[in-house]
Amino acid sequence: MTPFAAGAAVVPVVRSVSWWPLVGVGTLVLTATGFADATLEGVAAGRFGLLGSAGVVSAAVSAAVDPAEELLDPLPLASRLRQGMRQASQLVVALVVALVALEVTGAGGGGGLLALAVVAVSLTLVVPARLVRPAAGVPLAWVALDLFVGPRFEALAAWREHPWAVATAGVALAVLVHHLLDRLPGGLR
Amino acid sequence: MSATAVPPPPSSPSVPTPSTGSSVEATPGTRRVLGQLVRLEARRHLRSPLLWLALPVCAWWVWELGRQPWSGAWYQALPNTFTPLLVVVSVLVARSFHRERAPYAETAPVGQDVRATARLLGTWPVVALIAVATAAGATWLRRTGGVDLGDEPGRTLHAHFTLPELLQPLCLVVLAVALGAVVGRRLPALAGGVLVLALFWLFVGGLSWAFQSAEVTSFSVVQTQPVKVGVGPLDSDPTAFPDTWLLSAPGEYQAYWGRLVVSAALAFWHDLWLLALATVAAACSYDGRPRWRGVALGVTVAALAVVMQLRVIP
Repeated sequence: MTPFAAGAAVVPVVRSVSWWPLVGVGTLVLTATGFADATLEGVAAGRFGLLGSAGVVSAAVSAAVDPAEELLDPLPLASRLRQGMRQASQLVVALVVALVALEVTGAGGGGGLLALAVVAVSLTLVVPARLVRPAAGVPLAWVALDLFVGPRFEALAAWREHPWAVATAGVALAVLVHHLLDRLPGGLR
Repeated sequence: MSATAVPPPPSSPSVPTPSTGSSVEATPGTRRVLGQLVRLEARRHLRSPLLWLALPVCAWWVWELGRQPWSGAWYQALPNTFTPLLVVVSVLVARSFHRERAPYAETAPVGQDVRATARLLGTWPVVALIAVATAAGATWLRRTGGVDLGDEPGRTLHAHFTLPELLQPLCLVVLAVALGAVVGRRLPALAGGVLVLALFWLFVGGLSWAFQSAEVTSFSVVQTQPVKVGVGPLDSDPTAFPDTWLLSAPGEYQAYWGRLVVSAALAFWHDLWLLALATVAAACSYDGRPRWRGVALGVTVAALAVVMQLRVIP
């Protein structure tokens, strides 16, 4: 496949994406962070920002699931490349919304969110179809666990304190899963 | 050979005809199908590993509350501990209602209203689960003498939840069911719907402390009591307050002496507010006349519940 073919496929692939999940989650997040900014201060408002931005990133990664994918099969484009295009197009918007939510509520963690997005996208590219949705939920689940049970399990703060290590470990895990699934008999994928 | 009249077939159970109408036809056959669908949905919910995973998480949260050093931790944060279960209930119901969007649902032998009713009624096991858990918790608190609430010199070690407060988890699970229904039925992408539901419950349940100020609590989802009323500046003499008052001492987040007031009336009207929201959400999972009737009823009761909360709030 030539770069020209890939470039020509960007528009139809992006048009096939359903934007409603991102719009729905983004609206909820911006409303919640606006409320938090108006009524809360400091760490308390930051919790809304962190949780909301993680939700938006998860919504963007969940674009890995596309019911219309079969319609695009005639395109000379690998399924994973189409999936990557869908996720990239939504992540651009999602990261802007996430950064706004973090900025408004005064929470840090932009780099950590990027790391979680890398982990989630890597996993959605390699896991079997039935695990794609849970893999997309990794950013929200991790941040929620860190917020609610973090004081008991300090390792959960790794996404904030060591984003590079988390992103690298996530990609390495995805490569490992990819090779393991290919070697297993019976076509787990 | 004379032609004999063919006898009519033995009376067979009336089979409901395919219908996409908006009214639930109350024929015996429809009722039987409804019962079968309710059992099917209930079994499906009970077999979900998500439901049984949420229970230990809730239990862990409750156990964690017991380790909190601040007075009133149990009383004020116990309603939050249902949050994982509420997320899961909403997600399970959303999955169930999302099946309505499949094209083959139109060829089902009963109308979509019957199916929607069955999907809603099929959640009875999770509602019963919450009822049993709440009753068990209340009984345990009665036997152990209650929990602590307030700061010295206005403190008790024997606080108990009022009945409307105990009913709040039930109202919350009804709302969780209704929200799952409308999200699953109306949103085209289940993945997005699940994320919306998870985020919603994490915001209003996990971070419910952000919605408890006097101006906001009437509109909150998870309401925690007691309500705090300022009664004196930082340098007040707390022993001058009446002995019967539960007090909240100045601290990191509070620059005054507060009185803690538990209002059963506020909790009652808040329960009604939750049920009204649930009515609106559940009605939106129907089509046609039931939807608009449900929305009208829900909005009316919700408005009444908010007004009454604002009237009775201490």
